[in-house]
Amino acid sequence: MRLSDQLAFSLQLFLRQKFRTLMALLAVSIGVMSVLLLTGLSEGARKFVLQEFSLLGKDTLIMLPGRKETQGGLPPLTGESSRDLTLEDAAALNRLAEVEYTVPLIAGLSEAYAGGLNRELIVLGSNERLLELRGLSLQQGRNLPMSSDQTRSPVAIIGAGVAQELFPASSPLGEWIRLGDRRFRITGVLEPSGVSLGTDMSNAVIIPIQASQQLFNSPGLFRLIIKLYSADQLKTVQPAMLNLIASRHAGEPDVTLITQDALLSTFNQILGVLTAAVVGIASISLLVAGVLIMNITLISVTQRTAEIGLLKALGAPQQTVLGLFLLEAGILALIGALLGVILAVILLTLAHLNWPAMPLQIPLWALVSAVSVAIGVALLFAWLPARKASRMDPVDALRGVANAN
Amino acid sequence: MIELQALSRHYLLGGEEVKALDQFSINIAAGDYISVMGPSGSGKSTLLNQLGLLDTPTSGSFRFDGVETTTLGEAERAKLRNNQIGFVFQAYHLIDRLTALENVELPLTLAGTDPSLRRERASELLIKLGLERFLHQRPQQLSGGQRQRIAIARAVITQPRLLLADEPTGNLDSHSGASVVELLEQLNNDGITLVVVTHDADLGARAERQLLMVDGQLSSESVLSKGETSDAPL
Ligand SMILES: Nc1ncnc2c1ncn2[C@@H]1O[C@H](COP(=O)(O)OP(=O)(O)OP(=O)(O)O)[C@@H](O)[C@H]1O
Ligand SMILES: [Mg+2]
Repeated sequence: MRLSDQLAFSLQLFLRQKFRTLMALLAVSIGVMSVLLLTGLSEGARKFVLQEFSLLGKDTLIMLPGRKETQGGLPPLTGESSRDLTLEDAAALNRLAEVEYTVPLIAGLSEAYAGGLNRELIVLGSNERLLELRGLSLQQGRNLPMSSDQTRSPVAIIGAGVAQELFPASSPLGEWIRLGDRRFRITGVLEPSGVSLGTDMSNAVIIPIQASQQLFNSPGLFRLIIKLYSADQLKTVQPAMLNLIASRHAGEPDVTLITQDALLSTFNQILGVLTAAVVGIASISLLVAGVLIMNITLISVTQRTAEIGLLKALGAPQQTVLGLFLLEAGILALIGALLGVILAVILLTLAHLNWPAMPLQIPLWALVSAVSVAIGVALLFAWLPARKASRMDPVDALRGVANAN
Repeated sequence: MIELQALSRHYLLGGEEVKALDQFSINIAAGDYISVMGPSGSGKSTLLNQLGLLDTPTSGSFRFDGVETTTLGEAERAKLRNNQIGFVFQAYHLIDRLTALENVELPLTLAGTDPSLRRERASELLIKLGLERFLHQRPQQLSGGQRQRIAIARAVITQPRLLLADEPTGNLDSHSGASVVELLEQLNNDGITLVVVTHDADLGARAERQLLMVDGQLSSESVLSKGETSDAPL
């Protein structure tokens, strides 16, 4: 029997059994759609997080005070508590040949007052290299003064959101902003940009590192970002850094170094497991669709017993009968899966419109595997009833007795 | 053309062996017109299913054109059914969702014949058999006699050499029955070998060879000359 004739045969059946066909299509399309939606969402979340954290370049290290075991133990509780990481440590590291520059960070919350308004803000103490490192740019004004410039000028750069809230009517440039009990002159406003390294820069204020040490009364750095000349030196420079810190901290290399790769691979692992779990749950709906198709095929075989007998009497070999029923299930699964893909794409596109920051696209692997799993499951589940049909005794089948031998 | 040698078909029914066909032997020549009569349960349908290769025997030999069929594989038997044997059932067994034309085409469709070729052959046949009015009708729009004649057209579309009919008039009134018998005999006159199982004594009497079956065995056979048959009224 020709494939085109088999297709026509199945189509005539579908037209005859619209309701049943619709149910099968619905089940398969919902199954495929939920798999694709959930993978699309969790892949989107994964990409989003990775994209955020990959702002830290491959040639960049983060040094944290205190030693964290890679195996995730507690930070040292007893004995000498770790020493602060200081600006002097940063300067010493800066003198290593591989290091291009360092960016110290101190972060805290502070009440901010300006022009009769006040609100709580994230305050970042850092140096003039921060903007370059994070890929931030200024909307107006200028950067922090060079850190070599020891004037400790009380200046601040504010995020776009802060500018809008505290200075709704006028330009904030040159205005004063009070953080705690200190006053800073605003010299720059950031471009409105998204979230960087987990901090919403639009609601932050950046001040010189020395000023933040005084503001928060803490000589120790929250973290130190170290930019190398070349990513190739990432591996080799780490022992040298630890040695240097040890020599400055009474023999203890009491800091933790984090690379982008380590950070990303940890995130990737966590989010990958999450995606897998979510896809696993969604796959159950594909299984349900498979069971439904099996039932539909079973009903079809039972109802069409006499027809199967006829086909055999007219000389249809076993594989033709098997093929007819498998094709029926396969077509249902294929059309259902395509409908599911279309639905998922529409829904994800709508979600993306409402939530532009998330890269909500369906990964190709999910598309290919959801569609092929749907068809595979349908064929697998239809196989038993189809084989039963193909093995029916024609004499029994013609009498409408469905037992195969 | 056909040689049955001690062909038996036994069924197990509730632990008891039923000899539906018991050491049955017969030779059938090409062009024969045979009727099979006998009481209910005497094995008429069983015999026809054996001749039609729908069923396999318990023992014995069945040679079709010299080829032993009992040792053939299922695929080869299916092929023989498709192009050497036509089957007509009491219940017509037309497919409701197909038109008369598509039903007639079905054996060719199963054989993989080119669509335009098989359409042409099926239309030609329906015209030749005087059934062209029903070409595009569906079975449920046709009367029993019309359905059975469509089913006969389907049985002979592949130009088989053997045509088997199991009580083809069993569901029909005498008038429709007559039109069906007329068609079968027309095909036999054109050369096809015809075996008809029937309860209708008048129909049975029209055949050249009239077999009477009892308990799975051939009880008697009477032979009529060609001349007598054509005179008998339908
Ligand atoms: N599938 C089967 N399983 C068990 N016994 C069967 C089966 N088919 C037929 N028989 C038995 O074989 C015997 C012959 O049956 P068959 O159908 O050939 O009779 P028949 O002559 O065609 O009868 P009828 O005139 O009623 O159609 C009967 O006793 C019947 O019960
Ligand atoms: Mg019978």
